Amino acid sequence: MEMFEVGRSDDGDISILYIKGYLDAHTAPKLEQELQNLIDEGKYKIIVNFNELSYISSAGLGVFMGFIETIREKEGDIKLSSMNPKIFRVFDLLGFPTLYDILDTDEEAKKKFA
Amino acid sequence: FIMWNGIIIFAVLAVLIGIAVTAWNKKIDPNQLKQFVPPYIHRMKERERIKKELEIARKVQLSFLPNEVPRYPGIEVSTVCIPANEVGGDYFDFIDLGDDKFGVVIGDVSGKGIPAAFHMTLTKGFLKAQVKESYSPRDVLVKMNELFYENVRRGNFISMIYGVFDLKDQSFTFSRAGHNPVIIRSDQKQKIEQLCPKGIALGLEKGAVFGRFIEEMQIKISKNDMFVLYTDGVSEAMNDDKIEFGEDRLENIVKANSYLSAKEMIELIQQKIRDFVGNTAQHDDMTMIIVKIL
Repeated sequence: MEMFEVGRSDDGDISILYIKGYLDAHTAPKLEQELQNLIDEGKYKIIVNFNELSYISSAGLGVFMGFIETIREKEGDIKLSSMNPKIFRVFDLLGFPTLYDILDTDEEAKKKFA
Repeated sequence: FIMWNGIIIFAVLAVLIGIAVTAWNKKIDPNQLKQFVPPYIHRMKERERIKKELEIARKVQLSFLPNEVPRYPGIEVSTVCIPANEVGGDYFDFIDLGDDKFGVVIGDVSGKGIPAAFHMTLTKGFLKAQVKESYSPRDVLVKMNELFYENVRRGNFISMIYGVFDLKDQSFTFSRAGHNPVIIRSDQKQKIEQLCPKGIALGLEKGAVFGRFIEEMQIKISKNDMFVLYTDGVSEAMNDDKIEFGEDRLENIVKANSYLSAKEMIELIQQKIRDFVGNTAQHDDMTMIIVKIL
């Protein structure tokens, strides 16, 4: 199984998840668990940092869709940041930029929550 | 001495016969023998059963895909569809719309294997019901999005292109729902393009944003033009060094071999992919449709 890790840091009411490695059907449950933890803690302002992600499959993309409705209902959001061009292309082709804020840095993403 | 040996031999024989008669009388139940079969034999049988069911599923799924290409005067169509597992999530189809028009669809369901195959079958059902309602690819995909979003669990989506070739009008009209761009080689203009009109994949959003965002593009077709539609299993085919085949490599093959027929081109691309990936296993379903204007 390919390597996948999720790190977390909190900045006030905004939480940042750092995803690293390969996000596919096998590793997606790890990310799902982290997002669920945040929801359980009542943290709905979430940034996912893609800086160290090398691969994402459709199962990985599906994870965000599974949680976004609940989070937006609670006036929160999942913002995506720091994608490399290859990863961004995957999101871009599918039309994700129309539905999600995809930013170059965590700072820009935080500003979007203001 | 001989007498003692005789008694001992007789005693041993008597015990052996006694055991044999007892066992015979007990009539060992064959069903009880099952508990003596190791668990790994049970698992092997179960795996065999699943394997057979998947083979049957594969045949059923193949029956949902076209078994022949459209034959119209003036065009040549070639296709290839290779699932990564026994069943897959790629879908392609052709629709005879009459009046020298035919529809082409290519789709890639998220995920792979059995869940993707189920969603692929559902997609075919939705599409076949929709295409007769409207000639507009945009309208068809708007409706497909609504149906898919309503009926499938969040997290699943499909990228799709639906296009209509009008051989009377000499045009190709299409919309792209989050799918890889169409590669078009125009002989007249002596150039190759990747056309990527705006559009979100099906199943990501209920409909308002989808409908506002999706574009419909129409282009004129002329002799020797070649259209290449493909799923990302082709562009993302990986070699041992984890490098992807890529859209540019695909485009360059089409550009460099423009004189080939649709069938020859599809075989050449497959060969190039095979050479590129080497021994690396296929990790995603691969589908291509090539239409050449004669």
